[in-house]
Amino acid sequence: MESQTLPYIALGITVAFSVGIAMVILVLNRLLGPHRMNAEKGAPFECGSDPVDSPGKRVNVRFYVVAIFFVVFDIEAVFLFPWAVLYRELLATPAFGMLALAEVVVFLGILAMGLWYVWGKGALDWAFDAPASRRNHG
Amino acid sequence: MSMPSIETLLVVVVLAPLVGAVLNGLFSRFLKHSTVSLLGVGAPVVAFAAALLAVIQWLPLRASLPDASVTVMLFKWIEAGPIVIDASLYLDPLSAVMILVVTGIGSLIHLYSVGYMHDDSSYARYFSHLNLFTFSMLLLVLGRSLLLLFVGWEGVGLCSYLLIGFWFTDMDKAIAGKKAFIVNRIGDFGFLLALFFLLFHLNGTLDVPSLRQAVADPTSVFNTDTAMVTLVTLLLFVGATGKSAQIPLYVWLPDAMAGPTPVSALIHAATMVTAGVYMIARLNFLFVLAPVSMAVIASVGAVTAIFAASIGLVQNDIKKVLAYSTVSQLGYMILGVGVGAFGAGVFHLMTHAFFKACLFLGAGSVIHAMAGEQDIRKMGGLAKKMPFTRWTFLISTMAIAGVPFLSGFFSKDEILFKTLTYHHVSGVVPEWLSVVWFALALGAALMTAMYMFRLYFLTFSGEQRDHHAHPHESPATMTIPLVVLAIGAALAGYLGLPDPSLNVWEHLLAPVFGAAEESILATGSHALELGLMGVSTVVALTGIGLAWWLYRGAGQQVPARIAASMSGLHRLLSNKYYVDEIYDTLVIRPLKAYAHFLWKWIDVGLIDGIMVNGPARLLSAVGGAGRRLATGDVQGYAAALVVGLAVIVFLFL
Amino acid sequence: MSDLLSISPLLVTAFTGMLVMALDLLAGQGRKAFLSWVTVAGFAVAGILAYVLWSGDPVVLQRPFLANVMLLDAHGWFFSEVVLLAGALAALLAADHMPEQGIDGGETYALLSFSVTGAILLMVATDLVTLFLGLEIMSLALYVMAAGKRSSPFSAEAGIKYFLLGGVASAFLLMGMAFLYGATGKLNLVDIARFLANHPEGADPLLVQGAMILLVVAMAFKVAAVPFHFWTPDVYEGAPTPVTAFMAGAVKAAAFAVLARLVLTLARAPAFQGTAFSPADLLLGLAVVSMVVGNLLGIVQTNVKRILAYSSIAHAGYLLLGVWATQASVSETGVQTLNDSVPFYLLAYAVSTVGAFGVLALLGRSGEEDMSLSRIAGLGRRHPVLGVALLVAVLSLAGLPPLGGFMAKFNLFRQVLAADPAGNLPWVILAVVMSVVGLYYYLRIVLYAFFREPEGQPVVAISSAAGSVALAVTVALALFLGIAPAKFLDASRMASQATVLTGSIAASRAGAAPVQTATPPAAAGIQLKPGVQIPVRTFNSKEGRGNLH
Repeated sequence: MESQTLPYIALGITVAFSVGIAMVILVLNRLLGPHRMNAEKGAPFECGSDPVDSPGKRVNVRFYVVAIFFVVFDIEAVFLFPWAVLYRELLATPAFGMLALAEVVVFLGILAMGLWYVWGKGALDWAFDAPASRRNHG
Repeated sequence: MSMPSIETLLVVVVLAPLVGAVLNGLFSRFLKHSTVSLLGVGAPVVAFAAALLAVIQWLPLRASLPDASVTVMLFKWIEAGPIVIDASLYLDPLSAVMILVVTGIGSLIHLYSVGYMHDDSSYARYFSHLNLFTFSMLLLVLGRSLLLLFVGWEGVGLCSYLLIGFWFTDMDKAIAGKKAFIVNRIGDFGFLLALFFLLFHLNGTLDVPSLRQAVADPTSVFNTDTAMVTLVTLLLFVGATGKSAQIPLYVWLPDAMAGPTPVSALIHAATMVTAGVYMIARLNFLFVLAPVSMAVIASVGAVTAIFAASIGLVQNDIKKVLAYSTVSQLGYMILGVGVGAFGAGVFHLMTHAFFKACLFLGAGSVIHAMAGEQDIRKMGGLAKKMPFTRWTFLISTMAIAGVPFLSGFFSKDEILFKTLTYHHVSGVVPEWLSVVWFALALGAALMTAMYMFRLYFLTFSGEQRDHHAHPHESPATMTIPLVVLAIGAALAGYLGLPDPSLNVWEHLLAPVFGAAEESILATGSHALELGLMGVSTVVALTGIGLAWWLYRGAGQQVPARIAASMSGLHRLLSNKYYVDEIYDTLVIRPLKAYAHFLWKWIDVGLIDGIMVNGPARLLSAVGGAGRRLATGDVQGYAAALVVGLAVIVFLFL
Repeated sequence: MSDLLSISPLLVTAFTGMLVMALDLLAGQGRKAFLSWVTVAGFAVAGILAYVLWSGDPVVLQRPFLANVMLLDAHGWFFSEVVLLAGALAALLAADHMPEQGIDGGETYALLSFSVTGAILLMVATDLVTLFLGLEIMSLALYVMAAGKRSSPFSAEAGIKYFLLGGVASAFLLMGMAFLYGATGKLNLVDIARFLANHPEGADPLLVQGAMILLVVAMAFKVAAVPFHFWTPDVYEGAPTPVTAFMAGAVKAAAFAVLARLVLTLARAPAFQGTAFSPADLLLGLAVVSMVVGNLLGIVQTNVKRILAYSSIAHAGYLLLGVWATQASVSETGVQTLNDSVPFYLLAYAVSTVGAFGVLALLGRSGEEDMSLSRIAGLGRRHPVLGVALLVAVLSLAGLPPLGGFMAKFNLFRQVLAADPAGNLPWVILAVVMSVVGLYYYLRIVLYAFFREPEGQPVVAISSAAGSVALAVTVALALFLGIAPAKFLDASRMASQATVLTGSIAASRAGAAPVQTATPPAAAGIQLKPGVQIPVRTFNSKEGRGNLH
């Protein structure tokens, strides 16, 4: 019985601790900092873009590029989970384990290759005048 | 090292010039001038060497071979239902002689061209064409099938066209090439029709040996249907009149002198123009079955001989004189084969190749020395300045004039003799006709001696009449061929001495011509032959004497007086009997008017205007309406996709 | 290991793409043209491997997860060779065209390699998911390539249009697959064919018919058949010309390979027997409107690229007629074979169209992508070599002897006629009449190139060794296919017999003892052993053609 409740007690302590820290910092900030409000500061923070705006307004294309890279690599990384789960089973089959390892290495190699390409092309540079983009921007 | 087989050698004979033509034709821009020369001259020389080796191997074997022949099957060319035509080469006595003449004299003329064409900007193109010509001529001569022969026949016609118009920036020369080509096409049309007839009657083969076998069978259609054979042989002869420049299709040959002189020597004197003679000789067994055709052939040959010789009397262009001389001599050959003296005709072909090639090359040497001048009235006195050219020219002139013991004497005499002994067994042809031919040929011989020595005297003797040019002897590449050809012109006649025991020529060609000649020629007495030799000697010397008197001796004022007193005749001769003008009025103008009508009214008006553009305009209107659907609007496109799907679902489900 | 060998062409093209990406990073700016040769080398290796595999026996993968997803046979490899050829030629054409147009990047070659990989995967797939995967790999790469010229609004327009409409078509395809899965519970074409043959009562006819329509429509979009053709002229015109060449040559071949396989596999299903719906009518309808609309609209075009786009639509019509004629013969006789000449036709068409677009790719400096007819005026005199290449390509497209296009058209029409001499005659006559109508715009190109003088500034040709090699290959092949087509026709026959492999198995199973039908569904997946000799090929090669009558 004890062994089952123990993790929950730890979890509760963690939650309480983190909420407490956050509160303390906010309160300290309120008490100690100077307060000069303006429109900029009053805006809700949302990745630098205005939350209420004309829908036809242009959004910097770099947001999409980063988002797409994130999704692509994220999804590919997700493929590793089923592999990792099955790897123990695969190892049990003779001569199949090494093959499974080799295949995942190839897979990761392709991912690394893609990352290198994206990096080399300068697609990860936020500012366009970064050296990488100048050097190799096809 | 063992000798390559005859088969291999024959393939080399044909392919070497082709390789030369291809290399010089396609890669000339990468080749040095000397490499072009080497390839250009090397190709026929290799072919000649191979031909010589092949013939040397073949000579001792020939008695044991069927028809004394060797066949090289190259590949199956056409196989269409019952029609089977192989591309194969055929070496028999006739083609053996011909390949030696073509490659041997061809090599000399190629060598000569190195000097003659040295400064021409299209040097490689020249050699490419000349090699291609040699290839085509060899194909013509060696082709076992008549269709292969026809390929060569067309090939030499093409090369002739290309080389006559070699300097195509000169409009007159380009037109001369066109004229040669078109006139030849008329002849080729007859030839082609004859081939269709033969193809029909031979059950889908055009092989010469098959044809010979078919003819040998007494029950075959060739022996029962004389009308058909007469028609076919006359059609074949139409082809021969085109290529061998006989009346009425000879008009292209004098104009063909627009080409470079070595070309005139090789194509328009020694080889291509003899193709018609060769073809008739090749099909001798067929021609003897049609006595009417034979009589027509002999008549055309005899008339052409004297007709062209008479024009040659008054020409002033050195090459034109030789051109009409060639037409005249071809008339002799045609007369020869026409009276069934196939061996004699081909013999004259061979000797003529030597002396006429030598004469043309000599003329080329003179023109070269005179800086392009071709008018013999402006020459004279070249004997001292050009010794090689002079002596070789003199020997060849004597040979063509029929001076005893030179080659032309023997070969021309043989034809005269055989003409007199002509006696076709069928009896269709009246006896007196052969006497007329003989008289015409003898008259032509007299004129030949006259105009040739007129040419010689005006060119080489006396003093130079025009001092613009500074004549000099030509380089060795040009004089060596002259000397070799002159030796040939002097000695080639000894192959066919007028004695049955000594006549190597007749013996050699017996497997090809023996049967045909026997059926048509009566055996003349030996005494008659010797007597005739005396007559022709007198005729030749008379002609030479007249020429001497008129152009060197006391009678130098006479030609002008004759021209004045018989101005009508002189004008007629100078204008070559107005044949070109007659053709222009009777043939060319009506054809052009007809073509103009077809173009303006039928083609542009009816076909283009109504039948072609009408439906096109209609369809354009329909298409224009459909074009409005392609708006470029992507939402519209997507909607169309969905609508299309909906329509299909609606229609099919 | 043997599995890896069996799919080695795929691996090689995929690897080529990645190699090109790596080399693209390493190469300096303005020095990317050599990537074209790397790509060509990769395709050549893949082509050789495909040839080796083509001459061998059909193979089915044995790996547990991959069992039956691909059928590696003469069908797939023949079309793979066509795609590889078109891809290699496009790469050569791009070598100097792209830098001239300001597209100095290696991504074109990488994308080209991936697109080829996708196309091959598409053509060897028997599993619907794999098939879709291949289609998308091929198409996504193409969308990007179409938009490859970033400075040109036309290129962007081409990319976005192709992408959006392609997305719609993919949705149709997926929907069709879903219907099939719904009807049969299977994703493998072989399984589906067997299921449809053995359990006529088990599959809802409406679902199967709907699937058939959706699949055909989706592929009709890819082959640019009317009324799903609207994207074609705009995309062909806007995309960089080498990419257009690839689209016209390779994508059409791949799409037809799949269309033929899908149609022939499913058309014999009992779901179609005794109902009003006939897949044959659907194909015939598409073929007729494609021929008519493609040729008529081609007449009024003034831009060479658009003319060729409409030509592509018209050719889709002829090809659909070829596929249809197969269908027509199927309903009466037991054996179904693809019209023998369809694969050959696609090869000849790819060669000719790549040649025609290839000439355009070598014309015009940057900013001069307008290819209206008047711009090519005088081409024959100014650039005789390009002129002759254009002449050969266009006349081959028009179907004039002695070129490959003629041999292809002649054989196709002949076979259509042989399938049902009386019944098909009107359609063949229509096709021939439409070919004659098409002559009008093909000859207009020739007319402008050879007999018109340019107005204003004549178009400039860019000098390109690689491009010249590509054009030389197209000219040589166009002539060779026209003069000595025997070997290729044999290969085409083999490919067409392999096309119907799945369907034939299904058919033979259907006619077999009912014991077979008792097989529990779980084991229904057809257990082809690797390297198994499938008897269909021999039996078809003897009787297949005769049975068309």
